[in-house]
Amino acid sequence: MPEAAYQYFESPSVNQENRNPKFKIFWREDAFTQREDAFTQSDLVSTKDEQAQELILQIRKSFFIFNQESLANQLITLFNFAKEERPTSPGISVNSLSSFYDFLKLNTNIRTPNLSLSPDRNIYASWRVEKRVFSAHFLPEGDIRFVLFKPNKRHPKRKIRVTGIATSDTLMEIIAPENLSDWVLYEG
Amino acid sequence: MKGDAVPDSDNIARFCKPSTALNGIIEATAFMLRERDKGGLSVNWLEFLKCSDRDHEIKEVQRIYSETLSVSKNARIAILNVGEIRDIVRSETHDDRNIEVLHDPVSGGDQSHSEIHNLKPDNEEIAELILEVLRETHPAR
Repeated sequence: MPEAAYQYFESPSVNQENRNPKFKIFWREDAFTQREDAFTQSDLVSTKDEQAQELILQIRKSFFIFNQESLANQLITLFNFAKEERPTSPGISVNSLSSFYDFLKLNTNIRTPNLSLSPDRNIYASWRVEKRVFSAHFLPEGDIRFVLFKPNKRHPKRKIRVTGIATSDTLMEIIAPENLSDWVLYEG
Repeated sequence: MKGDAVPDSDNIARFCKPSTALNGIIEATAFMLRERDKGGLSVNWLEFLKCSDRDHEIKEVQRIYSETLSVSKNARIAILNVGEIRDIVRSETHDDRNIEVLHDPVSGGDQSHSEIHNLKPDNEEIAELILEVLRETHPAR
């Protein structure tokens, strides 16, 4: 595989359950420029992209995660969007994606969130139902910054707003008292 | 004029990249700054365009985007009111954050360009608060 080629998923649509992702090869304009550097910036980006793609494939094959196909399809679409927006930058932060995967492995009954990418290409997962919001920003260092908004039942005109920082193995313990069972988690 | 505050009564448009609006649903990430950014969040001042109605404002913003950005069919425009943004952030943040929307015309370019300042720290919380007062969304092209 020539070093200047980028490979990424040929699956622009989100709802593609039961379809295997296909790779599409994109060539940079300077694909045939010979470079003498042993390791270039494009090599680094290609390596990171390959790692991200591998992680997404692992998520897709993780049948112990309740909705692994839907999550993988969202990630594929986001990866492709990110490469279109900035072809010479990594699609998704590999470390952020790894942190997200760790979170999924520890919380297999998570409902499917809406996924998006932060300006630094980190995973941002949001669960929204009516006036309730739980969002988690998966940082590359392993921390997760989270936001929780929900109605204040005792004071209807006000909202409860909780923000904080945790790790993938502690986040749900911290949030558990807020009773996410009918909104972020599947029961049973 | 550069540096003038956009009035609270006026409205702004924010370009939302496809990676912040999967399936056309704008997420809070559309209103976040990069960690290393020291400036403000770019927006367009709609009333500055002096269009007859919202449809014409949107068309004008789409034209501006087509000249200044790479606009994919999956990109979106978020419409927000300046006063609503400032009110919700001030009333709902622990430090009564006073964000500002300042006119920042581009020399020889986009004259409606403005910026939202004082967004950091608490990137996520403020982004979610801004999303809460999102008024409209439109295709970016």
